[in-house]
Amino acid sequence: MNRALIPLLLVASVGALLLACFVGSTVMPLDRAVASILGGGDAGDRLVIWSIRFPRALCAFLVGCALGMSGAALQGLLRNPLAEPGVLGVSATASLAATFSLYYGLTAMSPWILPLAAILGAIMATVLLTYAALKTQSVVTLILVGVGLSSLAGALMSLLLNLAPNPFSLTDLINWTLGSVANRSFEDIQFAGPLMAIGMFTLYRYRLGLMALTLGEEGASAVGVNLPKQRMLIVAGAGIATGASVALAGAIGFVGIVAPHLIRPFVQHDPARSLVPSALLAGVLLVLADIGVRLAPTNSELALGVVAALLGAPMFIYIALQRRGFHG
Amino acid sequence: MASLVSNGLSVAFKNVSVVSDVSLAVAPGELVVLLGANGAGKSTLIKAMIGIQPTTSGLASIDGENARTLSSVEKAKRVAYLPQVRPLAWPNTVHDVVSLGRYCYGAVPGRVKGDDAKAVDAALQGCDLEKFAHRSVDTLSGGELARVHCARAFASQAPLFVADEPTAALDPRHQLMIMELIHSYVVKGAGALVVLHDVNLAIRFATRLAWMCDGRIVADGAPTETVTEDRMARVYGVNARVKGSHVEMLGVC
Repeated sequence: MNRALIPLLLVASVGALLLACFVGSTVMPLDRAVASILGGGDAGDRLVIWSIRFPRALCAFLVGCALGMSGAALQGLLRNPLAEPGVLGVSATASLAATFSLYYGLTAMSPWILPLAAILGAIMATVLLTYAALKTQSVVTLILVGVGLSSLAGALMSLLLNLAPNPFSLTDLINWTLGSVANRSFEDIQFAGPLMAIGMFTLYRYRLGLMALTLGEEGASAVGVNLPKQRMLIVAGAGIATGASVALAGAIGFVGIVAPHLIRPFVQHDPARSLVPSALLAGVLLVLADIGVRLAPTNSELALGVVAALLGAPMFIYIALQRRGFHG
Repeated sequence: MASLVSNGLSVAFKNVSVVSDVSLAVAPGELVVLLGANGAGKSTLIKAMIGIQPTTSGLASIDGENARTLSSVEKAKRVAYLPQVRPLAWPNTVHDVVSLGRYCYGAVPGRVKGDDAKAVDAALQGCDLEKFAHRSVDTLSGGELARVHCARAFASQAPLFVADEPTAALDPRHQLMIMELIHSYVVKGAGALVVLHDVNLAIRFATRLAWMCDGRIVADGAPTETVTEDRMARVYGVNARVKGSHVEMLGVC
């Protein structure tokens, strides 16, 4: 591995988070921003940075990390550079559950209902995928189950949108399904953050089996990988991290495909070595995309997921066209 | 030393018998070649013998332990297995792929140290891959890739080596090279069970030939003793002329 990669990405992460504190609808001069970050300066500035800009940027960063690492891990597991939480239907199911709780007004009972529903949805999808992963030996079958799950969640989502009783909930639903980190607070992070950490730790802990999977499933088990356990833990880790990220920011697509794709050449295409750099890069990309969202001169604020898709979808098509089956 | 033993092993898929009552043993220092027509049950048998294929009856043991209950890591330390289909999903470096042979010892590709590093270097050297070590596997020829897969298997330094058609789709030179590599691994004390389709290659390298037909072992012995024109007709359905230790194919029966 390129030894400078992770330190470089850490510097970029800190840089992007600081940049997000400086810029916004009103530009804060550098000296005032630095003073506020260090706990001094004007009370209003401190409020802007510590209650609005920083929590929002941190949300974008954490969501990016969770999606980037989940994408990299699923690509390793499925040996497919196009795999992603989206492909396996985890994001869609999480969004569906969240949308469902919104539509039936369950969210009025407690502010925790919506994030809980998203995580529950992701875990439901994860359990189903884990079951499918244990039942079948084939990765193709697992991907097909994910595609089916994704389509089902998408269809149910459309049904919900059609039945939406008033325009207000429709806008709400659209915001949720497109993904956004606007108006997020440290309170939101307190809930989703530890779950993301659990998911990402699981992925990191079982990363080595992902490299062995380059040999195919039979080859991986020949070198000592316990395949059912490996599959279950990667699917579970990615499910939890993704569910928590959907809870925080809705369904944001493509970042889990783009970041690992950019990282792979720097880590000799080793899925295990790609996890941490992919997480950091995806975090940086989402923070920068969110700065773009805030600076864009549009009437109503763009959803972060829209920007992510505008940048990510063409890349997805490019990667798909570049891809050729390589079998030794 | 480790040995690979099956006792009355049977495998059936949906009540169709694929392997019937096979008893076969591979001891250290032996290179046993499993011969048989397509669909005779060779691949299923070797998978059952190393415990990755559920059996309907009989017992497969590795080093005296039940092959089905050994953990994947323990098994990998004892048996180096080359499957019939050997995909490489990512364009990793040759060194990283060969390092995977040390997965069962906890080696981390890219940061291979100590005994693991020595084993990987020895395997690369043995398979004449040193100059390719940092090349990406998607730049290699079929013959070079076959050597990479062998080096991956040898890197584990397991006392047993099992390979399913390791010479498939290789040119004559690489077929000989691969068999010589396996032969020298056996000379060092390992036991090997190898599926081949080239009878002459088998005669040349095997210490024993196990002939398989319709899921059963129909002959098991020294090459010169078991190669007969009658057996070639019964096992493969071909008319052949056997001259000393050479078999000439004349045509389909």
